[in-house]
Amino acid sequence: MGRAAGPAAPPWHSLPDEVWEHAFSFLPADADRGAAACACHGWLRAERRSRRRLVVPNCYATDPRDAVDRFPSVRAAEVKGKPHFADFGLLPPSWGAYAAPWVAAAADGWPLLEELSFKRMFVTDECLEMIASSFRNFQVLRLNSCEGFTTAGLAAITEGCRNLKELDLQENYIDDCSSHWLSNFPECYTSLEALNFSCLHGEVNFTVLERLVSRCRNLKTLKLNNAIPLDNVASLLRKAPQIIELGTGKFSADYHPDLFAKVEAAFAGCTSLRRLSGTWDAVPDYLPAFYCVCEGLTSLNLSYATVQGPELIKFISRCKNLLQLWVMDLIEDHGLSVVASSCSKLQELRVFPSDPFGHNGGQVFLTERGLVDVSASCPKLESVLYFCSRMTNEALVMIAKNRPNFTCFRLALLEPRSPDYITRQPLDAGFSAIVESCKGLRRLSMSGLLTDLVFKSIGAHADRLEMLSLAFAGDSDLGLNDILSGCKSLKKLEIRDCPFGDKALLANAAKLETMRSLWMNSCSLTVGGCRLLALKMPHLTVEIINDPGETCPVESLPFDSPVEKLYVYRTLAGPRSDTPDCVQIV
Amino acid sequence: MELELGLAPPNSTGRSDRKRGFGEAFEEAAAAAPTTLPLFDDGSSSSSNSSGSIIKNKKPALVGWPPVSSARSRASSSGRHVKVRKEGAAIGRKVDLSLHGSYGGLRATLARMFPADQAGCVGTSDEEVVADGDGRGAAGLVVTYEDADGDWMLVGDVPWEDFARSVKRLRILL
Repeated sequence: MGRAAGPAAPPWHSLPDEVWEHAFSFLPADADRGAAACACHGWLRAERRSRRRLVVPNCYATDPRDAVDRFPSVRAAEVKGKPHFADFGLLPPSWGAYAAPWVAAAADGWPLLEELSFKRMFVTDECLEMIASSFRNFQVLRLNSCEGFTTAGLAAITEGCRNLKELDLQENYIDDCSSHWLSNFPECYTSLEALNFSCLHGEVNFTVLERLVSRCRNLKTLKLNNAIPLDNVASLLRKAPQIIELGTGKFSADYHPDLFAKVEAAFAGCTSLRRLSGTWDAVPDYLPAFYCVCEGLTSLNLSYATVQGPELIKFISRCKNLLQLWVMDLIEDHGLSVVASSCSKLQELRVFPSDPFGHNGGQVFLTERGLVDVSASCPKLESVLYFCSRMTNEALVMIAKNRPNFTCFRLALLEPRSPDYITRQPLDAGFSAIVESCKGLRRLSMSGLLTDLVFKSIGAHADRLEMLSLAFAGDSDLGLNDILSGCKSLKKLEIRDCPFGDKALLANAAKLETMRSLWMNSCSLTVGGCRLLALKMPHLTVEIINDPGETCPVESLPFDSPVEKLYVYRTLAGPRSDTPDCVQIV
Repeated sequence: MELELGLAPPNSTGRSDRKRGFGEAFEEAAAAAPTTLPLFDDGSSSSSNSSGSIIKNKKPALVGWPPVSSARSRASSSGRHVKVRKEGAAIGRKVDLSLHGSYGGLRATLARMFPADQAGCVGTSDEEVVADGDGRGAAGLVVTYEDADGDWMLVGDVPWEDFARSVKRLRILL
């Protein structure tokens, strides 16, 4: 770093790397660290050697070994695989996103790794066994929406990771091999701080669980599965009154005054309880047992709970300090108006459909009114996910006016292409108002009847928008062109059933390289268009995805053959080699 | 500017009436009866109008819509709340079948939900009550149900599990 000739280098040029590494440790945001790394070789070196946390939002954006080489000091890594629409069954099961190469590379290059998180990836028992045996100080394993492993793999983790603090299994599909994974925690093991096994279907040995909970005095998070009877939940709480986050599991039983008293007493001891969730199969009789903790709750997830009616509303109205509320539409407009008047600190609201596919044929009285009320009365509300059956432009305009501080707005009208139910107009005006008013909007999902007009507004105004989800919207390529040529911050775009074709994509090909990924299904794309896009942009992977079983090679198809599903993402690693037959990279 | 790019097909000029044309094609259908839209070919059209009539068939399989995760859609299909109406009562109730394992338990719940005005007819029995020929149980209720085929049947003839799987709604007769 010495300078032999030229103007004198600034004094800070000769500071040793360790000083820069220390300075960079104050930059929490990866984007800031990345920017610093671009300044000069010295900073690049210092930054990459001191990076402790790595997030890889698309596992195919880079080869895992390159990631490990570049950042050799990582202690915590998070890798995400399948695109978001995989959650709704739109991706064939064999698509990819295998965790094995990442685990192998980490085992090789990050022996001091402490935390590993996988989301929407295929994780095998062998991966879990490798994790258990490769990292002597492994502490945190988080698996979210993953599949491919069984309780045998979990048994390897609980047996092998002596310093495990957190095992978080969220919405995974896990095969139950009746492995005694819970029993594999050694008797001397006491370091557990967080345990979430809510997605496991099988029975667990309650005695073992109770002993585990008793001896782990630092346990803060416990999320049970549906196999634990209410009586046992109460017993566990008596053993862990220090708990901060609780998932109650099924929490249903016929009413019995003795059991009620036991549950009530158990909760009375949990003075630190802040976050509550559970599937709660309709036990309004037991809700009053929670009253003592309501005041302290900051997060309440009733989104799997079929409990409804006045008991539910009474319960929620006591939760005056809620920041986050997830609930089913069974709360109805009336319930939301109570939320509006009771939960003044609310920041995030999610309302899920209790009957999304119309099986029960019933009518739930949740309309635009509920959302209008909450957005009018909760000044801190910034994140909304709302499933309902009807909406008006007027309501959206009112919501936009009341809450310009939205950062995330997701509205899912159950019937595709639903217009404003009073005026029968498209909802362009309403959504335009949202993007024009909410200047900090980072995430938007739209539904209902929408024309190309709304995309003009979005392209022009949604400067901070990072993720956009569209369904059954728009009239023509103009709509897609407005999005891709505007929306300066766009990272992820996912589209289904919109009349968008190749032209807008090809005209904005360069934009796609500034984005993380693009998903389109059931639009008007052609094989020829996709091929042209791939030719134009060598740093993009262009995947054409068919239904499994339909493996007609793309080369043999005519130019204008329709493409049902397209997934495009930028990558440093070139085309992946683990595609199934139904996926073709053009 | 958009026209210079040559993106738009010839008939899309950005005029709002054009856009409305696209919407109107679906608005009429939607206004008449909210049905599935032509793009989603399921071979049948099922409708659920605002008077609350029950759709016989499930809505056609539009993959991935509404956008709920598979965990949620599994959970929603297992929630077994069915409507209960009593003849003459304006307001109905809902009962969760997954909390019941037998006809006796169901009758007890129904008797609690719809206490009879006549003396002697209120009562819950803790014992299993086998349905007799006319379907009356301990509480003197005649309970009928609509099955998966849309037929109204007397409660109690088939094993509980078969009943719980096929029942769509209940009706208590006087």
